[in-house]
Amino acid sequence: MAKYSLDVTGEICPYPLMLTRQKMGKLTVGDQLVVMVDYAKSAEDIPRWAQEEGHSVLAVSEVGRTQWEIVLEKA
Amino acid sequence: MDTEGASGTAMIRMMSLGLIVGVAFGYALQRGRFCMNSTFRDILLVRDLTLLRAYLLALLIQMVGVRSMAAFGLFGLGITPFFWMATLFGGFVFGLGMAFSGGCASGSTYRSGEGMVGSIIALLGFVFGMTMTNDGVLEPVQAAFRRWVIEINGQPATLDRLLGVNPWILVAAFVTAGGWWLLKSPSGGYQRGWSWARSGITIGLIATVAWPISTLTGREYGLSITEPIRTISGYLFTGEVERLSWGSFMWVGLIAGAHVAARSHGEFSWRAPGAQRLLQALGGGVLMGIGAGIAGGCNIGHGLTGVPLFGLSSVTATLSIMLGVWTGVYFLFGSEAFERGMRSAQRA
Repeated sequence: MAKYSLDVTGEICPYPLMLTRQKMGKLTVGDQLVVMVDYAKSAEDIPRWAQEEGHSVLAVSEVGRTQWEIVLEKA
Repeated sequence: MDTEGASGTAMIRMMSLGLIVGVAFGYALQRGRFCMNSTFRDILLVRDLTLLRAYLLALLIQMVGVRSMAAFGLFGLGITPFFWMATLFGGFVFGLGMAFSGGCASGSTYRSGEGMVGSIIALLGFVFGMTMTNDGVLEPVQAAFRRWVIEINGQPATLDRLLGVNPWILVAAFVTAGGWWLLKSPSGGYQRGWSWARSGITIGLIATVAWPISTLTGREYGLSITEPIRTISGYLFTGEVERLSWGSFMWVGLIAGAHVAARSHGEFSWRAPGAQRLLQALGGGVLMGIGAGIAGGCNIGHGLTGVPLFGLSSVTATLSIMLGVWTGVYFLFGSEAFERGMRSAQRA
């Protein structure tokens, strides 16, 4: 039940999503991952992907100007 | 003096009509996150069909709208000749470039308005590749690929001519099948921007009215991105004002519209990836320019505007772009990128 974080700010499409995927693949069930993104579309498609994969989306919050924090829990 | 005055009026009309459509298009692209790189990539990669639905809806609206207006004689349906080798190869190279640069021609343009420096660099690469292919060292390559042309009864090849049916029958079939699928489709979750239905309708309507508006300036075609970029760079590098068209101003308006949309929703700021990714975007942009130059269009001129008219050049280019994107994603992320998508498909 560890908590990890991943900063993908500045990355171009589709790296935010792909790096999140790779990181989630390495975690164990129950671990949480906090993803920092600065691109609006990634704040939409990362949670959508996670939901599709069956992970829990604990939060998607706007933490600053073009800064979003997504909290996922691996299922 | 008279001709100077007349051309001045024509220029002002071209400018204002182009800017109006461009601003609306840019605003809609930004709110709808309408990028065909994501559209095509997400089909396989994450099985997210949200953008595909928006794209399909925009196509269906144009199939009916553009063809109706042409039937009333507002303009002629300018269907691109079917250079099959050029669209097959050019589309693939364009799609490959898209995957590397992280955005299609329209996506990179609207993201430039959002302040994404990577997209601005990709566009610079696009200008470079496009100019080399249309007016430079790669011109013989373009000419070589365009040697193979297929015509049906002396006219540009289209799906309806190929099947020997009335195009309205095809329109009815696509609208019925596509409309039925869309009606059953869920709305996408975690939406900050527009829903797929709203973006599809808005972009479809803008793409439809672009035809008569552009025709008022003597340009009988709908939205495109490749031709505007070519005309703007042509003007900048040669100083020949007559190279500019309605599309040039539409493209400038597009960036402005996307900028306004991003800024008014707290989605604008200057952002840049690291050096390696910037170079990747530049290289991807050059490939996109070469591909679009050979194919005679990109995901907008062919994909959005040409496909609803059933031109085989546009259909082939769009399918090749899709294949190019998937190949590019495979190069970048390997086969595991697709495997997991399939695993989730089995679970669903």
